[in-house]
Amino acid sequence: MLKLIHSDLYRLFHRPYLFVLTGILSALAILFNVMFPTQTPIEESFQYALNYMKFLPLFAVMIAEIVMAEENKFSTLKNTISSGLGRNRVYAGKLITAFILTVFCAVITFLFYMGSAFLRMSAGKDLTPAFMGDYLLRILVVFFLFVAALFVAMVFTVAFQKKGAYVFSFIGCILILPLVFEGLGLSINVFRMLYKITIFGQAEGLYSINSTQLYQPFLVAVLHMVICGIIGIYIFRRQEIN
Amino acid sequence: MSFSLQKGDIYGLIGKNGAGKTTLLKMVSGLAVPASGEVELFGETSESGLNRARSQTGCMIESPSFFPYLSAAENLEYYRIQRGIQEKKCIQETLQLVGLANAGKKNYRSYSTGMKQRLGLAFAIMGNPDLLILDEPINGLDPLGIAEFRDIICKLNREHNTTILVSSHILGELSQIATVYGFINQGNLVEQVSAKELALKCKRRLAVKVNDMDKAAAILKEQLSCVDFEMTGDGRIYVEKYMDTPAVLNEALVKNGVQVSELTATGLSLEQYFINLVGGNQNA
Repeated sequence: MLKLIHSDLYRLFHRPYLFVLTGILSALAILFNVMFPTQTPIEESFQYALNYMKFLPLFAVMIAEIVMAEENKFSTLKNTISSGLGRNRVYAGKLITAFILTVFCAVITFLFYMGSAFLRMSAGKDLTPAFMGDYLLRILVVFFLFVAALFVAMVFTVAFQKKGAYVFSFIGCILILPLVFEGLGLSINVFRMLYKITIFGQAEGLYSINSTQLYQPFLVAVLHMVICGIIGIYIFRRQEIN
Repeated sequence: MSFSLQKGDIYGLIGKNGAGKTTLLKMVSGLAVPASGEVELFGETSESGLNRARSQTGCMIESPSFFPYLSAAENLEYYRIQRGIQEKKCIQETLQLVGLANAGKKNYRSYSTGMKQRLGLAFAIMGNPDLLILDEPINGLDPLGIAEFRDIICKLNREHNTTILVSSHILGELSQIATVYGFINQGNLVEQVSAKELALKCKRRLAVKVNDMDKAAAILKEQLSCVDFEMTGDGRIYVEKYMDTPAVLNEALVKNGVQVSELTATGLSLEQYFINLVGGNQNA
């Protein structure tokens, strides 16, 4: 499996896509800070940013695209499978590769975000170590929700090999379905519960919950990873590779 | 379906469209999962055992597929790392062997069909696998490319004793390299025959079915001075000498009291043999 991860990293770092994606995310992070007046306290912009981080998991489909969907598009997976790499290992290897790329993107984007925030704005009276600790913890939870979305995206790239189909299904599952649950949840309690176990639902509530409740989005992320990991491997093991 | 390959065989898989050749090769190489039955490769049947066995094989199933934004060397480097082949120089050696050494940094997306096919072959043979599985490998190759392909296959087989399983519609080409043939039709192996046996079966000869083989043989030797004949277990004698004058042979046998119940001319090309085997022209 290490060889598979190594080879995938060789391939992905040999093309501009990953760097372009990281560049776009970093530029968005800088742009976000540029939108604030310079006299805004950093902690205020941080709080505001949390509200927008609910959309970050949508970018997971872009990582899944270069790691797995491209293999379907170019029919290159047959070379890997016919070389004797077991399907479980291949799928797990792809997930780990996607995770590594996510860490790469996330760390760079985060550094640009924090760097531009501190360069542009100044600390207010609330920017205490406790505040920063809590904020970084929330960022970490967003990261886990992103990884969970990545597991969802991988399932769709395996199940629907056509690009339009898996992107639409992913957006439907990550964004539209939670919004439907949220709407129906206004009058029917069960949908409110369902909304709370979605990635989007947890990401949206991240800025309002207190720090003792942060285990909830973390658990939802782990739940998604376990369920989608099992479903993904199940589909992949039975699939004819073209 | 069950068929076996001996070490060093070049096994030609022949069948019409939809006969199941590609599905069979996909199952052997792990790309398709059998609905029933099991695949045995190098004596391995378990999932991990089959994966181990597949690591000793090189495959080119259907059309070659690679990352379009990488060059030939980069694509091979990707799979070299993945397969755990230690020697980096094997990439240049393989590219040299298939005639792609001068492809340089040109990306795969700009390759001609022939170049793509060559890279597919390079991928399959990289690391000197024990078994090579090739599905329609000469599709898209020009006559020079086909000749080069044939040379590479024969060289691998000769120098490394590589076992090769190859399917092709171009039977004339297959007949130049295969040492064993497997004919498949509607998902079943209809016949497996060695190249020598097939050559014998396809040879232009008279097949004479008689009631007394020993007496007929004696007549051939003593009266017709014919020693080059073959007797088979199905009551037939195959004679090459009287191909153009079968009446002479028939007369000699009948006059000496041997009943001739069948006298037919045999001798087929691989294509005709295949057509006859799968049920005539309407099926082919």
